[in-house]
Amino acid sequence: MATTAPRLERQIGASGLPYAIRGLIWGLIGFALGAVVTMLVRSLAGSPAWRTDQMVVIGFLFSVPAFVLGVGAWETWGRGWVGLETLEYDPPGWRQYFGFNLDHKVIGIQYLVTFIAVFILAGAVAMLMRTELMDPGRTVLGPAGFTRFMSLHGFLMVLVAVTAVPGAFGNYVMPIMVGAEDMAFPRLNALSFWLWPPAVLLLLSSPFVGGWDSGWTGYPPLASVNNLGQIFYALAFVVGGLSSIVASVNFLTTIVKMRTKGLTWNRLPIFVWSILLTGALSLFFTQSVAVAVTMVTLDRIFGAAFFDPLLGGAPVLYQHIFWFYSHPAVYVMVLPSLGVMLEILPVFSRKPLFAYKWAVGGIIGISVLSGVVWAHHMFTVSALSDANAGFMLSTEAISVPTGLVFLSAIGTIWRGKLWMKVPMLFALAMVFNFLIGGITGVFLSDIPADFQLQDTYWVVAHFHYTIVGAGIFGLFAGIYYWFPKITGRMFDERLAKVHFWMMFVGFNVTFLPMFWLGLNGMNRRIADYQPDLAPVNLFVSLAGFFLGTSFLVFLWNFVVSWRNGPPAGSNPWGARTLEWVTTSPPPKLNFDGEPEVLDDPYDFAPDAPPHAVLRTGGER
Amino acid sequence: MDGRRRDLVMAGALWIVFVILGVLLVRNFDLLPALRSEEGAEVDLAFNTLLLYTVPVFAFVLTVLVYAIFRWRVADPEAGDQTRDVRAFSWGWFLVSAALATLIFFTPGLSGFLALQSASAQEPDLTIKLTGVQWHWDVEYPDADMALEAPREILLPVDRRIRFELTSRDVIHAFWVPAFRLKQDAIPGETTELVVTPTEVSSFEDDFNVRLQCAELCGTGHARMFLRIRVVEPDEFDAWLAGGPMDGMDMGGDGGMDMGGDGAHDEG
Ligand code: HEM
Ligand SMILES: [Cu+2]
Ligand SMILES: [Cu+2]
Repeated sequence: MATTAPRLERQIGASGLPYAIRGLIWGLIGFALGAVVTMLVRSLAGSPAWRTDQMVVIGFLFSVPAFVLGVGAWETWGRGWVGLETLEYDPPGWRQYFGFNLDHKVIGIQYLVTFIAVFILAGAVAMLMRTELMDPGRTVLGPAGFTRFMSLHGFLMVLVAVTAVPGAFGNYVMPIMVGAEDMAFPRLNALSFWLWPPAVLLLLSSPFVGGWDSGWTGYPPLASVNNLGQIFYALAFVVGGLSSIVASVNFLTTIVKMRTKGLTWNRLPIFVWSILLTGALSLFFTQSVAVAVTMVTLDRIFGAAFFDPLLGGAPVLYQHIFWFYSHPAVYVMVLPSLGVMLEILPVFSRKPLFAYKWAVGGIIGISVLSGVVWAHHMFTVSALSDANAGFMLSTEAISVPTGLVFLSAIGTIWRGKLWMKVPMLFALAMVFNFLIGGITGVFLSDIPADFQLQDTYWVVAHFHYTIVGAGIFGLFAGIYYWFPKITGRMFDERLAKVHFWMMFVGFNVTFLPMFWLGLNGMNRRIADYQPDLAPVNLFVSLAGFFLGTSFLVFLWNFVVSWRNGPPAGSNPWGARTLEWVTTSPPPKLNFDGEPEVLDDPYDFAPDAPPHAVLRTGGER
Repeated sequence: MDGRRRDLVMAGALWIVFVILGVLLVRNFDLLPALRSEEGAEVDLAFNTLLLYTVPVFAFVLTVLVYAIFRWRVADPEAGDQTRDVRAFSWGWFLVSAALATLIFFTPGLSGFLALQSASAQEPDLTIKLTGVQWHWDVEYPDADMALEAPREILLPVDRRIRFELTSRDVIHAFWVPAFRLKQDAIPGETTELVVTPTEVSSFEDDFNVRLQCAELCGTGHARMFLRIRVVEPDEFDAWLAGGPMDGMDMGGDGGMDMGGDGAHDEG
């Protein structure tokens, strides 16, 4: 215990059973163990031994650590706890991704690929939902199936939106942007990723126990009385939340402590700022949602009655705790993407980020205010209570810092030289989409208007415009922007443009008509609607299928270009930030030399000094 | 005129064109369905006012996007202008957006909110109790001692202020009549209320938005948890209250729909 530095003397993982498979096996064993322990305790207490919900909860709580240890945390971390030397997981080739690898670049790719897969799956579920909604009446899922798949779609997509951009690019790119060799806590970093597979697998298995039908928000009392799947939802939220917290500690520490020489706060790339504030939001608010869903679970499995009105509980209390996290969470979904957008616009306009300080102030302002607006999701709980007016005010106030992001975006492209490469197309589309998303949110913040709009397709359209139109478009902007850095190869520009145009057009024609549907009496989360709304719904469904197809184009390009794309070189876009100073992909410790920052990241004047240089041993 | 000025003038002109088009659009297309309640007028006023306010904002950003893309796109990268900030513009943007946010808070926000509050504080002509149950509504007219379990349709009198007292027997539901605009959750263990004055004789058969739709996810039957509404003349309503269900009215107890089987196709 004298030394804290890990001793990396032996390599593991290069042959034999992939560690991810071992993790699954250990996880299943852990699950069985937890279930058996539960049965033992129950029979000791004189109750019938078998009780599914308790066994699932305790079993899962056992299986998560077992899984994490099984994927290699035991060798790389756990052995140290018992005085053995720790080993290093760093096999070559594909195997590097299938175990407890500490390299932030590997972890970034693990996040990226995992969440693209989840995105595609949840998108396929959306296709089923739109098939059901193609005409009134029953189609493929029926009302019970629809409600459950709607819940699954929504929750998986929320996880994608909260995790994909910070997970992939916060991990891969951010440490390089600040000139660090790795994240501050590499083991915590690996832990934050490996908590996800159990959560995601649990959710994907939930349809086999009937899923759950309370949406991604899981309000009790409905969530207290429905299927076992509700518990899967709660467990996934808790474990995913833990991952977010662990990751955010890492982001914050890395950004605050590990910036390289010369990288002062006012030279920090805007994407890093967005990750910093996202980390702060996750760190501060995530426990709140874990508390909310845990309380529901305790109500269910131990009869706690926090939210049971018959026993003096307060169902509405849940909504306060839930939204206290989940409103900030919607900014966790968009801030990193807005960071990507503001990172891309200057590069492809060859012009400094406009009003940098205002943009940073905007991101900070959004983050601070996001903690005091939660009850705007609850205007109809007690529609005319005075407190609602306060939440209307705070919500409308948030449009001011949000406006600063737009100020920066449009100021940057004004008089720039717009080089319309694919990342730029996505970034520009985000300005447009997020404009619609933001403006339609103002209607929802207005209490009188919200009485018509709340819980209708207006809301569905609004949040898809923000989460998809900004959040997911930002994910794809980032993928195309950093693809050459991460893979060392260039994607097929033509296919990428096909993807962009299909996605941009498909997205808008799918979601724009939904505003009209909401105004005209279509409430949300419904498997069936009034026949008068059929034509527009049919149109929306067909548009949705078109949108869905666009991702197949992406997937094809992504896979083929990763394997066979032409070499991209270290800086195909002519960008200035540090990740473009090193090779593509970067070497193990990111730089062949000591990075030093000399100048602003967005100075595109022909005679500007570089943002950063690498000092190699000899030069010093 | 130097290039900078010319760009500003041309983009300004484009902005004005967009604003005019936008105003024409929102003035000539009524996005909202027919309104059939007094209180709902506040909602429509708020919505339409906001729609008008958003036109110049939306048009502004759109103008910059469109203008920049067509004016300054290049095939190969070259350095753009290197302006980092235009103090007056950034401050102006900030102040104008703060002023706009303040404006919309006071009106239509607070003004409409206070108007609705005072409308609901007035003495109602009639009270109706609604209880949400998975997946139908139970309705009570306490003044007439009438209780209907899971009716398919209810009657409301036109031009009378009705106070709905809402609660739930199981999970959270919500009251929403799209043609009346207002919305209020029905929460187990609590009684909430909503006051509304229908302004037109109408029925679900003529307008599908004259229905009491549950608007809070309450499980499998949520979509079809709706109750047809028939708004009638007060004397017709009084006669009905006095005499019980009239001929031709369907009071059969299947109300909220049977969600089993192929339930979804029994639309009347
Ligand atoms: C691929 C195209 C997509 C289509 C056609 C689609 C369609 C839908 C539909 C029909 C609903 C049900 C709305 C309701 O009744 O409330 C829904 C809900 C939802 N969707 Fe999507 N969606 C798509 C993509 C996405 C993406 C990319 C995200 C986020 C990253 C997302 C997030 C959500 C969320 C959070 C819900 C709410 C679920 C709930 O209310 O609990 N969707 N979507
Ligand atoms: Cu919110
Ligand atoms: Cu409902």
